[in-house]
Amino acid sequence: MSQTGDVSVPFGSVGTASLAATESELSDGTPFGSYDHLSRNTSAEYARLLALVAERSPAAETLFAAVEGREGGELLFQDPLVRRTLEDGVLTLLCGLDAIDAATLSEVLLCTAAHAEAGERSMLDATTRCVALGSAPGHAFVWADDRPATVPGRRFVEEVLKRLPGFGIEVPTDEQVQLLDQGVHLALQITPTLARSALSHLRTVVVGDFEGGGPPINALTAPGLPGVVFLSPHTLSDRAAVAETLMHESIHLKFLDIEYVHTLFPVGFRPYSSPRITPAWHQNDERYGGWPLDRLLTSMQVYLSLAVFFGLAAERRGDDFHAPDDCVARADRCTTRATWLFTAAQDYLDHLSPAGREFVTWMGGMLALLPGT
Amino acid sequence: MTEYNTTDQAPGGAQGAAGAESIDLLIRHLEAARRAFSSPEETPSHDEGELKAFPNTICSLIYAQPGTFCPLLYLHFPAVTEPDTESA
Repeated sequence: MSQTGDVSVPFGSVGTASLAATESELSDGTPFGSYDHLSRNTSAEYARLLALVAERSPAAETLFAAVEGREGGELLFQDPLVRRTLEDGVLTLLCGLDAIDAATLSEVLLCTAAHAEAGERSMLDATTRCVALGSAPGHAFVWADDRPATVPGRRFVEEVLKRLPGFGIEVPTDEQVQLLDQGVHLALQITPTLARSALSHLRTVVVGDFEGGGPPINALTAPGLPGVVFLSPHTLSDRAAVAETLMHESIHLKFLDIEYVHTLFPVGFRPYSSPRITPAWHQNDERYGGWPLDRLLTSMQVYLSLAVFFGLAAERRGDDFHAPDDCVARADRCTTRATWLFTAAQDYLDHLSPAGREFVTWMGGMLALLPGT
Repeated sequence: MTEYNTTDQAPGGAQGAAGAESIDLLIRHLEAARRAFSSPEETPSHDEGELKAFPNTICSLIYAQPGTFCPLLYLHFPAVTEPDTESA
């Protein structure tokens, strides 16, 4: 919602410069910001996982041969179901955990191999009904299959429901898909560099809600389903809300991908046994507190990124977004909270790996640049 | 800035080839799914009172934006009157 009339420049030139510098570091910094760095290394990681599975699975061997040396073949390793399946293959065949049955593993991998040989860049959307998000910087699409007829499609739904029992997947309307695309477009208009970096981690949008009534969710991201964001239909109200929501969740996706490349926690870290932190803004309601350390870090990154997103939005004119003074208020609140989380993290550095401590230091360096800190 | 490319470490062996840390991350994610899948009583509920009884469930592994019902899902009630940047 653009605002008419005179609005003072919220941060001034120094603030704008620091916001731009922070945006650049968040988006392109190495090792935690750059999408190219993270995607290249996540693909390499899944190539290693495939090589392990190929030692015990003929189908994996076929896929390995299909992608090896093929230009763009590594892009298949960004497909959410390919990633999920390779992880399950390793866990089943090498770790002795019952994560996937042999027939399903074989069929999904052979299907992926066929798409690799056809020169395609992804598998899931090619075997199920999906709608492309044309404005997205990567190969992103909206899930639109209420009755997937293929093994990969059914497998994807099963994996979703394992993590989100009771979640009702919906087929979005044309208008909802259009709004999603407009939200992507708006985010890219507001902060081209930051949005491109964040939204590149997005592969699949699933629209739906938990069944059984009650207050709906807005959006969520589930570890173990990289590249996938779940949005409630009620979130799809206007493109400003969609832009913010997709940015928010895509930053969580970036954090998930960071963890595939840079181990932020020591081996054995589990959220359920992690130290718990209750943010100051939730002190009066314990239901919202008790964050494990992974949530602390990902929320820090979300707040810092959204502080930059709203800060730069406030400097812009002409976008169909929130009014500049509203953007300033949002940016201020995000900055305050990111700073609080950064300060809280200092008490738990011993619970992080060296890369985890470096991640926190990286966040702190950028926070120090922001206006109002 | 120091780069910690852990996936290149620990050569040799099944876990070494992908990295012990990498395998541990995969197990962490699988455990999360199993907690949700095998323990329906621990899955998200629309009753906040019930939710308080399950502080260590799959829900605590899920990142979500505000506007939802389940504190363990990192969710909040819809922010109608304030800027909706309530974090996950």
